[in-house]
Amino acid sequence: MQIDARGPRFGAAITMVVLLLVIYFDSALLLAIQTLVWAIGAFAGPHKSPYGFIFKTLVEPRLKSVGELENVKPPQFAQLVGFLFGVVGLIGVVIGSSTVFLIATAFALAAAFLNAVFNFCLGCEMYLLLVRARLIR
Amino acid sequence: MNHWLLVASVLVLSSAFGLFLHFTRGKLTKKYSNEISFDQLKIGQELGKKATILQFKTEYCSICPGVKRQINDLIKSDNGISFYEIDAVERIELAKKLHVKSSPTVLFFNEAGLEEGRIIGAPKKDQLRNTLEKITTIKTEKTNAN
Repeated sequence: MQIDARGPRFGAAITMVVLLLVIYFDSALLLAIQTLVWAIGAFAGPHKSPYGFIFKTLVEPRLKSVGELENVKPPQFAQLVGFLFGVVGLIGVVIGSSTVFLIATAFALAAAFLNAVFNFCLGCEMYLLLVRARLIR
Repeated sequence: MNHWLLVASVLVLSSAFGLFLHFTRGKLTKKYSNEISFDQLKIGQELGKKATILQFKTEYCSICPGVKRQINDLIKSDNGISFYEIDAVERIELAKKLHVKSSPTVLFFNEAGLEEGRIIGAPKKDQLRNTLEKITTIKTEKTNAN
């Protein structure tokens, strides 16, 4: 399946703002909501996540140019990586470790920032390194 | 921990990393080894008469199809240049042997099947054109020398 390549980048920009708020307010609830968004993106596809829906209904119709299409799998994998960061952060909350919570959120923030600003998909890049290290596949 | 300090650190480090990638990716880098020739890779494809381009991709590489299109557009009128695409995960041992750590990685082989250099990340069209011109010039010089 092909989707507008600008959609995941738009989603990364919203994610970045949400994660900044998570850190600023030390909000486990906000991280839980963001983790749910990642879960939908990872398991149903980024175009079905709330940010994908906002892009499709509010942003894309207002864009004058037609965006390049990309396979849904790379951004879906990136959502899975984000979901894992979110789960680790929430485990930090459950075990009462604010350090785990903040570090996991900070990593997710860095990944979202790189995607939104530099169009660099950290999750996609990690994939080959993880396969090489025999950690996946 | 001061939250603003954490946010500032993340943004500064990410910006530095992003800028590093911006200025280093997509450019021709040194060849890693001339010890492995194209024939020794045993990918079941023939060496191009003038040059051969080999792109390593992965299933989760969002920019790989675009790079493939770019290369195909550039070489479509030149029968002497062969272009092949390999899934780095399917051929992980080959990827390791060639020091491929990122996708896309585009390797350029000369007429003798030796690597002349590689581009990691999305190459700019000028960079691709210049690289191919450089490789075919080497071929001409070698031919003239003979």
